[in-house]
Amino acid sequence: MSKGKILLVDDDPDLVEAMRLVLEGNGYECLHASNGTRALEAIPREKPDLMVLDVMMDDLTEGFHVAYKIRKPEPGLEPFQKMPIIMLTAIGQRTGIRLNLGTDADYLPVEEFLEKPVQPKELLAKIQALLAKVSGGKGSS
Amino acid sequence: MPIWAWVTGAALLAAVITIAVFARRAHLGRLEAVREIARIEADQERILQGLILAQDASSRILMPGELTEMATRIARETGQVLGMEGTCVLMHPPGGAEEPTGHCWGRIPDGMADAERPVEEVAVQGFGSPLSIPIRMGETLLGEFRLAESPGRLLNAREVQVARLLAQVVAIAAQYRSQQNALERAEEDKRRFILATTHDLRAPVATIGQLVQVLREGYAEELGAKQRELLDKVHGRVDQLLDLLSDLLNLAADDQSLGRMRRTVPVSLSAVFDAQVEAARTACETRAIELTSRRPDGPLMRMAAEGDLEKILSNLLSNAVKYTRPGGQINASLEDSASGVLFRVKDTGIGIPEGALRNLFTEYFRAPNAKEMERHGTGLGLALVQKLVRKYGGRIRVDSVEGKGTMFEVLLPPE
Repeated sequence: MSKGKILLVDDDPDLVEAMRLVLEGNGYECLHASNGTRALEAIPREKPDLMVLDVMMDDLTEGFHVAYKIRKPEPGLEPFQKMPIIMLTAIGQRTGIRLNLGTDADYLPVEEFLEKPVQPKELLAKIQALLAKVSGGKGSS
Repeated sequence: MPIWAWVTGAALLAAVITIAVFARRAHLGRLEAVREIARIEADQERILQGLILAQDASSRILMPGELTEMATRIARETGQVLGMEGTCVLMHPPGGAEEPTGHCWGRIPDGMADAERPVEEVAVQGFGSPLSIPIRMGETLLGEFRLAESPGRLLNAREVQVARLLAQVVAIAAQYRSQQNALERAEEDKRRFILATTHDLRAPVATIGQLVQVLREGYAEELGAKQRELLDKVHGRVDQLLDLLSDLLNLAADDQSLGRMRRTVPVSLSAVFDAQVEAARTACETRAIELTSRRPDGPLMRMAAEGDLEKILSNLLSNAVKYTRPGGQINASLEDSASGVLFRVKDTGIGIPEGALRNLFTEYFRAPNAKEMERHGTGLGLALVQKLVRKYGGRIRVDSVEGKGTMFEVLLPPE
């Protein structure tokens, strides 16, 4: 029995492979989308429980657009409005460059913002905590 | 009555009449003179008001704000000061792609706000002659200043001169704004370029790091001791490379020539503090270092360019983590006082030798014991911190005893 279905959205197949080894090795089911458009198509079809989302894919802020469309939500994405999103990017705290123009971190429409490479333990802990919160909210396990 | 008496009487009468006529003439002349003086004074007053308006407008050229505001104000106030029926400042957009924009005040003849229509063709029933003053910078026509006179109030040469002066002020303001916009666009292009470059350089290294971590933790296959040892080395080198890329790109992003011009926005120091302490926490947990923090309530707002305050805090915190041995302690605090906001990082780390304190903020300098503990480093972090602290008029202080610990203190004065 899978512990949850996770959608990995990243244009780097090697990174996806690394993530897959960790997540599948820990009992999660993994899906992959190589850009934002494919991710938005896959969500209603595959109904993932959580998404790990890269930021810079086809353009500099693609990940943000995907997250905003889910949170807004766009037509067809309503059931996924509250799906936990972990943003994972090669540019984060350490570079000191903020991605979203002129806004604060509070403004990020995601639950977690992590920098690559991420420690497997840390990623697993965050995923577990976020999934527990969602299923806790639904009153089931 | 004797004849002499008649003669004397007539002479006296003639004298009185002559005096009365002269007196009346003198009186009329005086009245005329008084009116003339009043007219000149009113004229001078208008010119003076016009000059004050020009001076006030020119002192605002460098201040932030929209050109529209200034054009609207000049149209209105010139109209009022010079007693016009109505005025229009018409600006041609740079490049000539869009419609010209008009900023009008008062009552204007039909078609006066239309820059496409030559001023000579503007209908003037109920107005004096319409007047057009070109707004130009060198050979370039930037727009037009149109004035509609009242029939009884025509501008004299000096008043036209004042209107020309005001048109010149608008021209300089327009020129300044368009250069400012070009600079902002260049700054934005540069920011995007650095962002894209940072990403392209870091992304492959980050993927290597991710694959190595997965291997090290045995997700692919169980590793032998030697394999693990070598992979640990790869992991260390990847981390070092990621840090180096961050430092170099930070330095490039903060290039002084453009760095100084970066737009400042209100930033909450408390939010920056919380985020940076949180970011340091993971590293502390990995190294078994105890991290404590304290800050006052409230957001502590400061005007700063994006990312500057983050860089100051993150550099000092990551140094503390890097040069404190497992089991040590780090305390970060933020204090608000009359002399400014004080950010302090105190650690029980390896400390800085006395001889190294002098060169601490020099680019590429690293203290010998720092090199010994952490072989790789750029020596750029503290140089960058000092540059940023100075940019905000602040000061940085260091207190350290080798082998005991270090305290860095940054004071950012009130704005």
